[in-house]
Amino acid sequence: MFKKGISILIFMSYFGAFSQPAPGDDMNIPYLVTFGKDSETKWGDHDFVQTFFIEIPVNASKPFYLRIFDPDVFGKFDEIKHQFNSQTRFSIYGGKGTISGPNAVKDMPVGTRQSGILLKTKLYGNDPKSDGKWVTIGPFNPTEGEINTNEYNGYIFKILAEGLIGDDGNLYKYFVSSSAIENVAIEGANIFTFEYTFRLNDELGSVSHIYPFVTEDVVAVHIKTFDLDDDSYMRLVSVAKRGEQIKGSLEDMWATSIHELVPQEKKTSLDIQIIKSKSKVNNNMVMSITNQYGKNIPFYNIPIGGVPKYKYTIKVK
Amino acid sequence: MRKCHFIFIVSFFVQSIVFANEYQITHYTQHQGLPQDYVYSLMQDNKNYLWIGTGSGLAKYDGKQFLHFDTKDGLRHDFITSSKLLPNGERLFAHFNGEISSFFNGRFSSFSSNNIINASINNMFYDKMDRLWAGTKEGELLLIENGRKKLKKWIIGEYESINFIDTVSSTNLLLLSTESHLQLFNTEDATKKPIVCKETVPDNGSILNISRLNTNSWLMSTSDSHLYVVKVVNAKFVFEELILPDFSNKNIVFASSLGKNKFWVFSDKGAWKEYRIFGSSISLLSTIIDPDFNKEIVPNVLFEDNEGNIWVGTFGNGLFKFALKRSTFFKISRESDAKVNTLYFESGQGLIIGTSKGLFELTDATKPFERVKNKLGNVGIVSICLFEKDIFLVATDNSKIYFWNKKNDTWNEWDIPVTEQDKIKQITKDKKGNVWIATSTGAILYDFDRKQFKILTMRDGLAHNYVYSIYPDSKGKIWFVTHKSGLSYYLGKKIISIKSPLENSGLDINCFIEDNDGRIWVGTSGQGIFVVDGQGNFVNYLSTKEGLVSDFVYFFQKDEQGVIWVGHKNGLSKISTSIKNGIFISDYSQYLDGNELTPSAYSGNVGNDIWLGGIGKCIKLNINSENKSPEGSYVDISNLKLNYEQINWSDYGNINYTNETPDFIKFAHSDNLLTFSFNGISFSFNDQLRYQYKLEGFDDNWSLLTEQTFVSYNKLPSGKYVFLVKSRNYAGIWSAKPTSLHFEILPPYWETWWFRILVILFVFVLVYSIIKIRTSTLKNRNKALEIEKIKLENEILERKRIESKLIRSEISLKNTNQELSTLIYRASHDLRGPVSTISGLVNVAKLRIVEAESLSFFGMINTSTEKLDMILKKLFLVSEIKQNEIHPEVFNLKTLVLDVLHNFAESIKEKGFQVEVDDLLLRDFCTDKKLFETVIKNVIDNSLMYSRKLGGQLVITLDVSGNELVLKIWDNGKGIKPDLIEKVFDMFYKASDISKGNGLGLYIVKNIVQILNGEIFIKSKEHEYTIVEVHIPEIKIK
Repeated sequence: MFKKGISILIFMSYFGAFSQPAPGDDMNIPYLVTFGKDSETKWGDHDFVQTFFIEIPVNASKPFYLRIFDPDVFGKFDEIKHQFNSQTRFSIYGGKGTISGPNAVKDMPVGTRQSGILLKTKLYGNDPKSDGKWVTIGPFNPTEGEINTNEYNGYIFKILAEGLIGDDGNLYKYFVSSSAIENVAIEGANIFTFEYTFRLNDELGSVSHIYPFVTEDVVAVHIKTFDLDDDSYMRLVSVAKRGEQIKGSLEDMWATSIHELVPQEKKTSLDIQIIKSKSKVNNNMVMSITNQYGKNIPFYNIPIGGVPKYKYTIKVK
Repeated sequence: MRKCHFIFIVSFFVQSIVFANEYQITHYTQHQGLPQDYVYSLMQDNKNYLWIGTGSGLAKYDGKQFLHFDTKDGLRHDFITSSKLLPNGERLFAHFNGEISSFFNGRFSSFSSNNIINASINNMFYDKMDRLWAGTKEGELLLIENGRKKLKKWIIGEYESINFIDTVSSTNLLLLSTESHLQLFNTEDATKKPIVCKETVPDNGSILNISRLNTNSWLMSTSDSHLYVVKVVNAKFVFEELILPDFSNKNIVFASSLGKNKFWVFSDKGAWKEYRIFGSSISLLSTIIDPDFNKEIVPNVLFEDNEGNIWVGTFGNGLFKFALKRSTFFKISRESDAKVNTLYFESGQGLIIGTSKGLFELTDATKPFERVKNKLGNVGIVSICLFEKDIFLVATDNSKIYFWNKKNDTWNEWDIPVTEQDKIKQITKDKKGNVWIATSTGAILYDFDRKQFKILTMRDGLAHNYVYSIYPDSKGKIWFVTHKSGLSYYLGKKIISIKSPLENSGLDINCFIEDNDGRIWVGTSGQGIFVVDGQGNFVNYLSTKEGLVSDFVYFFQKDEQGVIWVGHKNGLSKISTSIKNGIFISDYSQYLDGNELTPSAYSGNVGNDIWLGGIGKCIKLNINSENKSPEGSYVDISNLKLNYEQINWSDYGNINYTNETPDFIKFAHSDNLLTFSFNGISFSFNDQLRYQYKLEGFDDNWSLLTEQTFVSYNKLPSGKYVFLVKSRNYAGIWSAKPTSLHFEILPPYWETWWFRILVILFVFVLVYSIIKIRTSTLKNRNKALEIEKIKLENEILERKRIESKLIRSEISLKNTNQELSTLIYRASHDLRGPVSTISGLVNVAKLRIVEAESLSFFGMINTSTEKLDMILKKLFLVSEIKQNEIHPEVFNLKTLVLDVLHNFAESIKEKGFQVEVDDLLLRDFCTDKKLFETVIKNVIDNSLMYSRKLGGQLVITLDVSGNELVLKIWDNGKGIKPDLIEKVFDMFYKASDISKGNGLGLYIVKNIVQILNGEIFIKSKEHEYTIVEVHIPEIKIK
């Protein structure tokens, strides 16, 4: 475990990581999505909760803010069903249990994910004042997070976006910022999740990316998707894979695609590419990945070690 | 819920001149000792320590250093979110994890036995019923009561943090604030319907911060940069929006009140402003531009300590202290050597000063004094007096007085009875509105009713015509300062002089002032201050001995609190005075920062400020800051070392002190080297604290003033002590009460009461035992003596009995002896008659009888008769000797011896004896001659009787030595066997069976010698010789 943490540190320091928005700029994913709990799951959200984690390096001393773009459930950025009647609650947790809680990293809604100490809660519904704008929550003291330097790189915070009421989809973005008034990345910080619920690009042929990080003990990944709707084609790219096809899910269904890894792929990021192949718009989906033991693998906004590129090998007969 | 608020825009105006508070800023971060740069709570405890709660531990600050505490010291968690000081001095610290730590009696413990909740506690409120209310980040309101065990909980915030809890005065309501709502919570009906009113913020904004503004209102800032005054009226919220001056186009990131209608607002552009709200007006008190403008400093908590310092705890940028500057200096534009002669302050109109270089005015507090443009130019101004609204009287040093209409800027010279040679020193108005002019030729009174001048001179009773200053008091008296003169005042059209209190000297007066008790204070040049009561009696005298900075008094000023400020050339004294409380003098010279004051810089109306005139500048004292700490700084006895070593005080009692000293300690007798460390807790010029200490029970007096913060005492004798220490702060104010530490050095066991009692008991027991033993011994001895006595008595009785018996025996013996002697006498005497008769008859018979045989018988009878007669004779002699009668006489020894030998002549001849007699016998000697003769006869008789048949010798020697006669009779007869020598003196003892003697000779000799007090010795060798030696003392005859 310790080696794994060290390797993460090495990769992150190599990359000169800065906190990025979620979804990350390189991911080509327009928005995160959380539906009201009265929604139908076929709209693309199976549990109406989105959990993200913020990682703040141990040596960070300045306060940081969570900035959310369009946190309300209203306006052109959000997905309406009949009329906007939904509320989303954004909660930030820190302290013990934030990520070490028994259910904190589960992709399926098992138990409570509200482990840790609640630091801040903001409830958004039909709120024109925050519609289409970045709003700031915070500041937060890095030491309010749960310290974890074995598996991660410092203080861990948790963001829960919970669809409370209604049946509309809240589309939003995160940015972990050192400024309250603008998005200023924090050196060494990152944001990650174990289950991604997001909006796919509408543009035909566009490629979205998910970057899970494979540690040394992973020999196979189980890529689980929900409600892909056969809308896109998915493939797995890594240092050893040029584009292994990933089995996608149909509407309101889960699908699991298992892929064995070779030693070269260990301690690297994978690139799960979602290529828009049909003209369906406003498609939302869920993705999570587990290893061969069923343990969830985190998706980092910033691909640790950089975006994986297939390394061609020349065989000499 | 019905809308219960309205919005009211508060109007405001700003004075034409505002003297903003000026603060000196100090920034504390981790580099200066903070545990973390995130400050969540600030609290000052009852010892004045500042407790700073951060996300990484707790710090205690004393003005010099930060002392850290964390879980290792007993804190329940390192993350401090809130703090609260309870009335009993207990300090509470709420934590991020929902626990609450208590710090009391020097140790940390858990405040509640109930582990409260897994939610961060945001804030705490302690009500008058000793109940602790706490709000969590999860929107729960907690109540801890009943001995801190019972916990009640209400969900108030619906997952929104409860950010503020306060009580609504005179009600049972708590005001609770979450991010989006204000609520009123009924503490008396908490089980049924506790929320009385719940209100959203105007315009559905979110609440950034809320704090108490005064008794009945709160200041609320919202995320959209609005400020509201929140009031509770009839259990409903009322909102009044505030529009701040000088705060347009700025985003409010934090706003908080410190009470007393003052509040601070912080913008995201680093502008921090202090305001005061009064009625419907808001005034800007100060502006601080954050030097780290671009760092986006986020204030998190605002606090004012009891010295008036403002503390701003920030989120990630540490802690700021705003200390109000002691004084502000306002320079005179382009006239750095202008000497300020007079100054006049009027609220809203600025400050006017008359200087040696002209008239100047301060219209903008941020700029220097500017010259008042007029036709006078730079003529020196000696005095300014407000004549009526907007019109001043201005006196110049060229002996002119002008009416100056400040509003219209017109100048009119007043025609006064003063020549150019005269000097005008001062203008003033009395309570009737009349104008008084002090000149070098007298005091001029202008009576406005009569429109005429009156000149008072020495003829009218003035002490001197040269009048420096005139002071009208509230009772209508006009007091004069004249050249080298005494004290005098004008009342009822006449001048009254008061005799100088000094012998052989008048008062060299400089200035006057009237205190709030109506007494006149007289400032002198070198003679100190005299105080005169309403009857003209001197009631007090102050000098440097009493604490004045100098005995040279330049001027007096009095502030609105009645405090008298005394200006000296290079110093400033503050005198708090009242008849009731007495006089307290403090040295405020440091406020001048070394600037020189001018003698007559005085103004009667300076508002609540103290303005002082100097050279090239005026000095404004910011005394408001000082008012925050009228009692001086608390001194904490921070450490106590024993034998120069840190001590674990838990060894001295059941305590676990953490960097604090217990209130009372007992030391062993040998633990008598103590070092006390103390620390004045002051956040204003801490380095200027000075200390005095005293060890009661050891020191008679307080120590000298010292900067040293420790003192050691060695070899303290046993006893009870109190260590006292106090401090004097930068303003010269002493601690209101010395800090004390009681301790006792226990006496050695031999000085303890119990030991003494033991000793006394021991001595008592010892004495008692001795007495007891002695008594017992004596009793035993007495008993033994009694027994002995009885024995002795018995013995005595026995002896008496024996003695009696002896006496009786003696008597009997004597009687017997007497009877025996009588018998012997009678026998020898009475028998001799018949014996003589027999002998005569025998002799007759022998003559008649012829028969031979008969004659033979008769011859034998005759021989026996003769023997018997001889025996009877000797017995008779013995009886006579026994009579012990001595008849001394003087006789010649030779004669006596020869007479005796003559009697034995026939026997000597018959036996052929050879006799020798010593020639010394011719000497006379005194004794009983008859007895002595008997001695010689018997000895010679024995020698002849037991002599040899042939060749017998007899030698008789007599010698007198001193008064003793020694008779020796030697013979060469048969001698005596040695074993028979002792028996020869026995009665009827015969040494030989064939002896012809009767056994009485030597017996008689011995008895005679004894009667004569002499001695007799016999030496003999059988068949050779016998020596009889007799010693007889001579008898003295009177």
